[in-house]
Amino acid sequence: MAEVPELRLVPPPGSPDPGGAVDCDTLLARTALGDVAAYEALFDALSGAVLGLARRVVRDPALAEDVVQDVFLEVWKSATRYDATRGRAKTWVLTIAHRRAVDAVRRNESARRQDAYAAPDEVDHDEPGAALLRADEHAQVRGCLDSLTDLQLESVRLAYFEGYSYPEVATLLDRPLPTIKTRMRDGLIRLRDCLEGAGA
Amino acid sequence: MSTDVHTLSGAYALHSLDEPERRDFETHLAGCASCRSEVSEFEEVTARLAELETVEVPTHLREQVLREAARTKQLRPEVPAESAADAASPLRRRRWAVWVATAAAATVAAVGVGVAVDRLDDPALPPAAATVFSAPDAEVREVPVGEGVFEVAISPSRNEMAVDARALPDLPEDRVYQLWTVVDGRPQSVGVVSTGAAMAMPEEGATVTLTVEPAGGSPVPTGDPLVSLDPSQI
Repeated sequence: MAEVPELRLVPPPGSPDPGGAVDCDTLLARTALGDVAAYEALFDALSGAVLGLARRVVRDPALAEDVVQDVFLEVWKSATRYDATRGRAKTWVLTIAHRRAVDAVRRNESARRQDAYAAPDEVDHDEPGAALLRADEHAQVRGCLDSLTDLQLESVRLAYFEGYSYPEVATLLDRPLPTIKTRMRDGLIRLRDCLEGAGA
Repeated sequence: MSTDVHTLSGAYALHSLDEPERRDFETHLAGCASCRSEVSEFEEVTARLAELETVEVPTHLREQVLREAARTKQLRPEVPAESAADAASPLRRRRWAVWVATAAAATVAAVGVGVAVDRLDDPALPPAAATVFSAPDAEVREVPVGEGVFEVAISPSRNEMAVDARALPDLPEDRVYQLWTVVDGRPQSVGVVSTGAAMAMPEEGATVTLTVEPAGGSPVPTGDPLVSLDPSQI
């Protein structure tokens, strides 16, 4: 009995990627095995985008941090159920992040939302530029956003970055619901095609 | 065409549908492969948008999240439908149900460190063991055994240890699980474990070991150790 193998719950952390590029797919797969080091690396790779997005959508620094916490706890708990055939790890995490941020904002049904309804004219239509211009390193995405029509860009922006429901977007932009629904979809199609073309 | 449910894919990917619409669309998605692939592609796009917003993360937030994760139990992987169907025996099904219930109640417990899932109201576990698992300072470890899992909890304040054997793989009728403490290579039987058991915290340096033995148990272990751990490392 003396030579019983030592219990190992968690596989030993792999060596860090010598190339420096963070492979979120691998990190998530290791997180699913309970690898805490991989989870930390995944947090470091994606938390900046999650926090930035959450701040942008919920517009409340404390609430944004709550969102980050929710998102990464969900990532930790659900990593075991992540299906790699359904998309990249990074996309999975950032999709959770957006959904959580939107949920937080809807739960709050905050004053800002009522203000926006009361005074739709105050919606700052130049605002996408502020957020989007900041990111020079994302010139490719920005270039593709520039290829959208104004209505496509505004529909996508108000829904994604501001967390509005599409009926709210329709109200804010004073367009019929089907139009907004369609602009969201064809805006995303145009972005997808542009990014695919640029990335190829 | 504007009323075509397909066209909701964009609004769906942007999370801008309300709850009833979202549910309707997800029902549609389940049967529409091209919609699923379109939504996946849109999600790749929106992830790129999210990256535009990247900011620095405060240290306190990083620490808080990592601390919370360390105390949180991961969900069990989902059981594919076929394997669940294969697990034909009622006992086996009951165990899967226990697994699912445990995962759903995953308020806590952890890999290595954690607080216990509340099991006080679970009749299958002896109360003494449930009490240890539910102690405020309980630390729980899950040890995979074949397709099953063996859970060990310690409560420093109670100076007790408990095990939960209910999710271990099924054994033939004439075999049982038996728990041992091993000190300096000398095993001492804790007893045959069918559901769970509690005991005083083993002495320092003891190893807790689980084996499969003939029905009724053995005076000394005859099976290979399935689990062997140092309780002080939990």
